[in-house]
Amino acid sequence: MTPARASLLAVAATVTAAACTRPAEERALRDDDIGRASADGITIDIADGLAHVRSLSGDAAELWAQAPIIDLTIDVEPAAAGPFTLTLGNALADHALTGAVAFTDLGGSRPTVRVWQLDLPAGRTTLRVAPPDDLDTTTPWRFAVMGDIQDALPTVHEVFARINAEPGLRFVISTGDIVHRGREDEYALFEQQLTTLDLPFYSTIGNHELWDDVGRWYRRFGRATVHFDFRGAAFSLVDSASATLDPAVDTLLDAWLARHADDVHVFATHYPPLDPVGIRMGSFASRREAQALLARLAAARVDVTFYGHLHTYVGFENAGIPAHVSGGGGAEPMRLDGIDRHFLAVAVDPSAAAITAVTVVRVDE
Amino acid sequence: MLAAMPSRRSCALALAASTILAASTPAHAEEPPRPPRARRALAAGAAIFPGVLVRGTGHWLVGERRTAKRLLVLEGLGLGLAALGGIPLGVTGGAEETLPGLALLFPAAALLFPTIAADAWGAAGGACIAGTPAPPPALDLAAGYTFVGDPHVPFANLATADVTAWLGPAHARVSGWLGDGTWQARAVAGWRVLGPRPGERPDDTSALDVTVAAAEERRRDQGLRVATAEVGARARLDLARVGPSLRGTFATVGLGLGAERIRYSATGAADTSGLVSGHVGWGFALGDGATRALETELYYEHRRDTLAGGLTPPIAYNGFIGYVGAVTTAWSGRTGVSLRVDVGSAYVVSLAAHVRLPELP
Repeated sequence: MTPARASLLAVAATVTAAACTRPAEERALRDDDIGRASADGITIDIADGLAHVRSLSGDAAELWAQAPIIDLTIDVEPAAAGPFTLTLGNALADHALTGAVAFTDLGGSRPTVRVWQLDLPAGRTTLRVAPPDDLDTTTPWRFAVMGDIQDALPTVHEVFARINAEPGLRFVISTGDIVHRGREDEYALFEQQLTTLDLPFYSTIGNHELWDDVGRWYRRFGRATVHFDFRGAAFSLVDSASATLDPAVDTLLDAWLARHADDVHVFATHYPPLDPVGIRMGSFASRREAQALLARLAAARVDVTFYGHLHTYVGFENAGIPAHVSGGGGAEPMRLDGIDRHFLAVAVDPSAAAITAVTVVRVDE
Repeated sequence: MLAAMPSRRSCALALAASTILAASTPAHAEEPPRPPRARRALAAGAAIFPGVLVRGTGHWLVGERRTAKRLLVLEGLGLGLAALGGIPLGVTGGAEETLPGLALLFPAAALLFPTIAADAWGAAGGACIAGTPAPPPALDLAAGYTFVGDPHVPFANLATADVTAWLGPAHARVSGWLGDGTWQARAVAGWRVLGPRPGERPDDTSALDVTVAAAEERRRDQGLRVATAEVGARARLDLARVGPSLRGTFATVGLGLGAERIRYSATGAADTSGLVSGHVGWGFALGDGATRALETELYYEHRRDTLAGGLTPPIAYNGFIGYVGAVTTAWSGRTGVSLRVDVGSAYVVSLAAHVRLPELP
């Protein structure tokens, strides 16, 4: 072997060990397909993919909400016009349907399920599902933040029970790691446990959702990156499950940041961009990317950032923005920190355009 | 928030492991047996598996049992250090109090991974083509080009410059890159605690250096200024000390501690973050070291703050992963050329032309 050949082989060996620079690209593309479905002469299109069409037939559709306000259009071919049952999972108990269509509110089997019987005409019907009392109010309100359930799925109903007992919460946002190994039975158990939670659970994904077929997430819950506005605040739940944001997600985020520079803006993602301790296991794969992301969040005056991945609670600042790592959903807890299972209760004052409090609520006290 | 750093005691213990290895008895005198080519090929394969479990399998199969035993001992040392540093981290879920254990994981990795490559190289008969490393130059001037393949940064093409100078055991390096609205300048001062200095052509290239470094980086498009300060140590073990079949090969290990100050120009806010870096490498030299010399190193860098970032494998993983790379430097007389490829969350390819003083003897 000549020296040149040996050196080339060494370099080639390194390059073949390489990873790709866009590991989350497929998920970013998959997000774009969420919220659209056609079957039996019915086509549903949900604005911004804020609900997932779980099933659709000529006389019924089942949606899974990823936001509190859902705008959708239903296109109906003449032969498909008639009675149609619309079921919304992960709903608010006070969700109401509005639109130029005759319908009957059938209520729901539990607080997070809503069912309506529609009489769909041929042509396009535009509908909105929203909690009417929240649309034009600027009074203070609260939501919860949690993350990292993983192998604590069998006991997460205890966390949900404590969330149910906390007064005034409208919904839960999650930073991901719902499942431990990404298995189908884990997702099924999570859905079963969700029936004990009286509030919607809006979530991005974490690295543990990638442990097996991430399609299991998409088939049940929809987008991995979600943005919605509610009661004077903007929420950006962003997929960093690969310890990076895909450039397509960056583009979306830039638009959301520009649109809400003067509003309360909540940013949530699984990995802390920069590890609050600096040398632990949880941060973006590239510090350069992390620094650039934080610079953009700071320039857009984001009000608060929430992260998961570390199974503890850490409050700190990044780029001058209040930051909270909260991985207290029950996954193998960090020892010696005295934190254990917890969630955060976050108070928003829309009239002051501010996050007024972030409180750690311990489940086991 | 400034990081909790591994204690001095842990760092000293980690580096001591490397120093002990460097101080072990040279094994130059033992001539390796010459088994048939087919047996060597089988042994090289066995060095990978089951060699990944039992180091020295390759050398054992070609009859070099003394080297095989030494490789196995090195593996044992590596496993011991890994357990000492890693078990508390794993059991506590990475509690801050156990982070000093990280300092033991780098020398552990330096014992565990290069020994696989060394076993395969030696069992395959690498000593037949191994060469003599070039002596370190008193002055090394380099200029080049770096391509950055990273969808997250607004730059791709950088001009680079690098100057290294030695005065006795003291050495200093000033380097930098510039292009597309960004630049970085970095200065390193070091002291060679043991090992060859410029002008020396020792049989043993083992060395230990301690360094302090400072860097400033500006990214105009992203409104960022990043300043970094680090202290570190790096050891090189001439693997001929382990066995004659490993002549011309070496292993490297490094450990660094530092802090990074990030300033966001849009708001004036700043973050301070701790850094722990590690380096593990294995390499070989070709050429006679007099008229021609070529040295290649494959390495893993445990850090995510460089242009390469950290690896983002397309599989689920937990933990902190740095990047991998390879660097080759070839010298002929006074001039040289180097090629470096780093792969993390980005691809970074650097090509540089070098001029050295003194020229190769």
